[in-house]
Parts: sequence; structure tokens; C-alpha cells
Amino acid sequence: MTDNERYSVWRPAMAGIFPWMELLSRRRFGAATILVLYEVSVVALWIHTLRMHAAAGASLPRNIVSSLAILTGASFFIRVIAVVRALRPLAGGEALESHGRVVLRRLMRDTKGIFGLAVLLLLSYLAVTAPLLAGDPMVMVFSETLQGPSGSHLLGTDLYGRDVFSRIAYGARTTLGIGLAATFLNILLGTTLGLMAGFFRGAADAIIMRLLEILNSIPFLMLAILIVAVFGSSVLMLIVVLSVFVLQPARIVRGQVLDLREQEYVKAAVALGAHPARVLFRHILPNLLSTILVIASIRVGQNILSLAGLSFLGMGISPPTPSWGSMLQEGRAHIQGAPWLGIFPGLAIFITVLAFNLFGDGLRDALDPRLRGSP
Amino acid sequence: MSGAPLLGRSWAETRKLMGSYFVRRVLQSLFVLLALSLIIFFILKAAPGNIAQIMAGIGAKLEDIAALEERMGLNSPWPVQYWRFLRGFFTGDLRSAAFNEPLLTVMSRRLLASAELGVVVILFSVLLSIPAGILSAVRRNTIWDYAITVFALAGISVPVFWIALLLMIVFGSWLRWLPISGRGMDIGGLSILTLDGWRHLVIPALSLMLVQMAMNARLMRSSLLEVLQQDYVTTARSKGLREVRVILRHAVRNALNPVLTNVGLMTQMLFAGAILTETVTAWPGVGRLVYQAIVMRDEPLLFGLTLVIAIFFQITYLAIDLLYAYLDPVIVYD
Repeated sequence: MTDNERYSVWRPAMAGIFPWMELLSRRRFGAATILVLYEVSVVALWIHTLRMHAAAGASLPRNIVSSLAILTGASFFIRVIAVVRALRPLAGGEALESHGRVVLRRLMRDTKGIFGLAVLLLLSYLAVTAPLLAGDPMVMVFSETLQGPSGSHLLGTDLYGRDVFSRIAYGARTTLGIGLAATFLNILLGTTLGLMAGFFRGAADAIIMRLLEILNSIPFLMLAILIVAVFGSSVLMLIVVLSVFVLQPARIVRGQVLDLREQEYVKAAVALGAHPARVLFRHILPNLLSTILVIASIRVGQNILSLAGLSFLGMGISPPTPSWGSMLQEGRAHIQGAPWLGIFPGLAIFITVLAFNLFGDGLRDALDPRLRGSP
Repeated sequence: MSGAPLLGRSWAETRKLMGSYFVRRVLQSLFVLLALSLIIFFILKAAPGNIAQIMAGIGAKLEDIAALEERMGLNSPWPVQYWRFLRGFFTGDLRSAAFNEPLLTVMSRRLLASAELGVVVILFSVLLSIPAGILSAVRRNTIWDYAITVFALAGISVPVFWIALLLMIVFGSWLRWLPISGRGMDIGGLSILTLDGWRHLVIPALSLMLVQMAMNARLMRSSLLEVLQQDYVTTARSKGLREVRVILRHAVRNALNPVLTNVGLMTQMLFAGAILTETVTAWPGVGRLVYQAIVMRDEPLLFGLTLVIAIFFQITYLAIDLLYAYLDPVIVYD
């Protein structure tokens, strides 16, 4: 590649229109193929929806519009990133690789991590495009109850003649949504409590540790079922239960903070008279980041499992709304005649959690190669 | 080998070192139990409605409900009710409202069923997962290692109740080899004494085992890999010891701690609440009782159950600590 080509102004322009060209020029053929497929699917879905609704003469339903908006928005986002990347040589090039970039590169080379990420992207795609790809998950067709997998119903139908594939696709929305939201809150709370306990010690530490001991003295699921049964089940309630009553992250963060406090550079900062807040945010928190990311990726999987368990016991998402756990609960009664009802929703849970765990493993290896192989 | 204990330090030494620590831990446990009992009591009382309304049924007359409330002591102030629960728990007077039996009677049979399942699961999963973990770490990056790692990763990602459901579909419904649910015949409350009992035990035990084995194998592998890089392993090798001896006597012994902790936690989960597995396979254990008690809003039973489970948890935590101190002379609690 000559200097002229490298600094050409056409490159960023090209990246803005056809972002996969940017990837092709860097010989990322796999990523380029995926991107092309994605873009084609977005255009195809637009054309398909517009034609369908032009024929019907009705305005587009809101959930379809929001799906299309998210898909298109992602396309634009990818273009922005591609343009920024292509502009970088013009701005003077990259002198040193940042830590984030090194980690990203290691992650990209890790087969299981990248596989997990690919599955997660696919699942997110399924969740976003559910209204476009799948039929209505609530429509009951009583002439087609308990049908096995076939061409018209990819994964069969349930007791009320609802399409299982549609319900799984919509279930991905609730599962991923609640799983991610609960994990975010959980990590936020756990990190805050762990930092307080480890950094300030004293009364804060004692109170937080006793709280952890109390929570650890009965099975989490028991407490979760009890609270949901007593106070009623709603999406918000589930997010709160899954995030507030699991405080393992706090314990791990606390341990790390106790270690970091003893490090020379932290002691030096304290000796130099740095404000505690400065020590906390400049010296301790950045070193916790990789631990927090790894815990988060593993917690998502755990939260999805707990959510499925709760729904399975009838304490999660309330029935007409599709969720994988409650689909299994309904399928439990029909394992003799309609085994697909007990197989596919569970497979969906398994694949999702496995993908998060694979990604988490890959992320851990990429963030800290010394930890390779630890659970 | 002289009179030294096989592992770590002697019990006498352990006891001396642990004396004051032990007392403090017990006090701490008592505090945790008291706090938990209060929390559970308030959760139960904060709920809208009460057990009298549920027992009286939908459409019951208000006078009937009031009479039932009066009889069950639901009109007394909360501290009085709490005290009645707590005293009842210790004197054995606490009666389940739904089963109309004392707590001990309701629990004992189910405790036996859970214990049976738990012992079988722990025994088999430990016996299988530790060798698997060792093999995986020692033969690192071979086909064995990959197979075990993939199995372990799948095991921690799979919902345990789905595995039970799959086993029910395959072995119960398609092949018709095993009964789908329930516990089967028993002799004196123990169903592992009968063939029928074993046949019922297979599905819940297998599904729990798969998950537990996965966790243990992963822990064993990573812990052994770490130990194998330590200097003393190199020393042992350079002394000319055979590899088998280096691994089994020097490395594995020191790599067992995390696995032991997990076995302790496993005991808790299995005895106190394999809630999902027991519910899906209708195994009449403590986990299923917990679920029933919650669904039926059986406040006294739930209160008692929570305390029994929490006491069991505290005992296992203490046992894990003691075992650690016994096995690893470096650990000193203060």
C-alpha cells in the first residue's frame, strides 16, 4: 500500500458508504461477510415490511417500527465507527496500542470467546427482529394445537396452538433484557458495597459483611421465590430480586480492594497526601475494571439461569408473556405427547448461557492471561 | 511416616489454634440466625393478605376469616407473634398450618429423601469429577482436556431442571426404562434400599450430578494447574520422584481446597434446596417442601424451615473452615 492510498480522503468516504470495504482492506474476511449479510438482511426486512403493509394499506405497528429503527441505527453506528477508523491515519496514525486495543485483539484471536460473541450477536439480532421474523407469540390457533415441528411451524405449536418459534424469539427479548439489566444493577451495587467495605473498613465493612452472611445463609432461589411470591411478580421486581440479593460481586471486589490497598503505588499515593476519593477513583477502581468485567459476563449467565428457574416455578414472567422458563413449565405436562415443548425452550436457555460463559472465559483470558484456565 | 497426621496438622493442634476463633464464629452465626429470622418474619408479615384468608378460601364470609385469624393468633401484635414462632421453634410446638402437623414431623421424612439424593449425588460426582479434573490438568491441551473442559462448560451453563426434563423425555417417555417422577417404594423411609427406589432416584440424581461434576472438574483443573507451576512440584520432580507420585501426593493434596469448599456448598444446596430438581421430578424432599410452603403461604412452616436450613448452612460453613485449618497448616484464623 503506498502512502498516497493510505492517506487518501476516499477511504473514509468509502467506509461511510460501504463499511465492509474497510474490513476487506484489512483482510478481515469473516467479519466482512457477516457485515454484508447483516446489511442485506436489514434492506430485505425494510423492503419486505413496506411491501406487506403497502398491500394491507395499514400503518406500521409500533413494535415493527422500533425493530427496524434499532436495526438501521446499528447500521449507522457501524458506519460511524468505520469512518473514525479510516480517518485515524489522516489524523497522524496510532503511535502506541492502548490497553483496550490489546485486549480486544487478544479476544478476537480467542476461538471460544469469539464464538460466544457471535452467538450473542445472533441472539440479540433474533431478539430485535422478533416482530419481523416471527409471528405473533400470543395468537392462539385452536385448530393447530400441539403440532410437531414442521414447515409452517418451525418448532411446533403449544397447547393453545401458539407458535413455539415465535415464543422463543420473543422470549429472547425478556431474557436478554432482564438478564442484562439485572447484571448491570447487580455489578453497580456489588462494586459500590465491595469498594466501601474494602476501602473504608471499620463499621462499613462490618455491616456489609454481616449482610452478606445473612444473604448467604439460605439458598438464593428460596429467598427469591419467597419475595416474588409475597410481593408479586413483575419485570421490575425480577430485576430487583436478581440484582439486590446476589452480592457475590461485593465479596470479590472487597477482596481485591484489600489486596490493592497494600500495593506500593497506593501506599505512595496515600503518603503523598492524595484525597481518599482520588486514591479510590484513580488508583483502585481502574485496577478493578478487568475483574468487574469478568464477573459481569459470568453473572449474566447465572442471572438468566435464575430467571428461567423462577419462571419455571411460576414465579417469574407471568404466563401469557412468552418466557423460556414458563414455556418449559407448560411443556412439563406434555412430555409424553409433545416433547418438543420441553426441548426447544431449554435449548434456548442452554445456548444463551453457554454463549455468555464462553464469552466470559474468552474475556477473562484476554484481560489477564495469567488467569487463563481459572473458573 | 512417623506419628504425624496424614494431612496437615493434628486435630489437637487444630483445636488449640481454633479455640477462640471457633467461639467467635459461633456467636457470629447466632447473630446471623437471629437477623435472618427477623427478616423472614417481616417479609411474611409485610405481604398483603394472610394465611387465614387463603385457608378460608375465595368467597368465605368475613366472620369466618376473622374467627380463623383469631384462632391462629394472627391478631396479636407482631412482636408477640414473632416470639410465639421463635419459642415454638425451640420447643417443637411450631405447627405447619397447611399440613396441620408439627414442624419436625413434616420435615423429617423429606429431610431423609433429600439426604438420600444428596449423598448419592455428592458421592458419585466427587468420585468422577476429581479424577476428571486431574486428568484434564495433567494431560493439558490434549483431546481429553478439551473433552472435559467442554463438558464442564456445558455443565455450568445448563439449567438443571431442563436436564431432568430431557432425561424424563428420553428415559421415561421414549425408552420407558425409568419412571418419570416420584420417589417409589421405600423401607423405613429409605428408598435406596429398594430397586424401585433406585429407579426413581436415577433422573434427579443424574441431572444434579452433571451440574455438580462440571463445577468440581473445573475447579480441580484450574487449581491443579496453578499448583503444578509451584516450586515445590519442580523440586519433587527434580528429586527423581515418579510423576504419578508427584501429582498424587504433592500436587493434588494441595489443589483440593477449592474443590472441598465447593463440596461443602454442594452439601448445602442438595440438603436444603434442590428446589428446581425436586419440583420437576416430584422428589419429595426439603426443596420441594420449601416450594410448597411458599406457594401455600404456610407461615409457621416457612419460618421453621428457613431457620433449620440456615442453621445447617452455618454448620457447613464452620465445618469448611475447620477442615481448611486441618488440611492446610499455613491457614491461621485470627
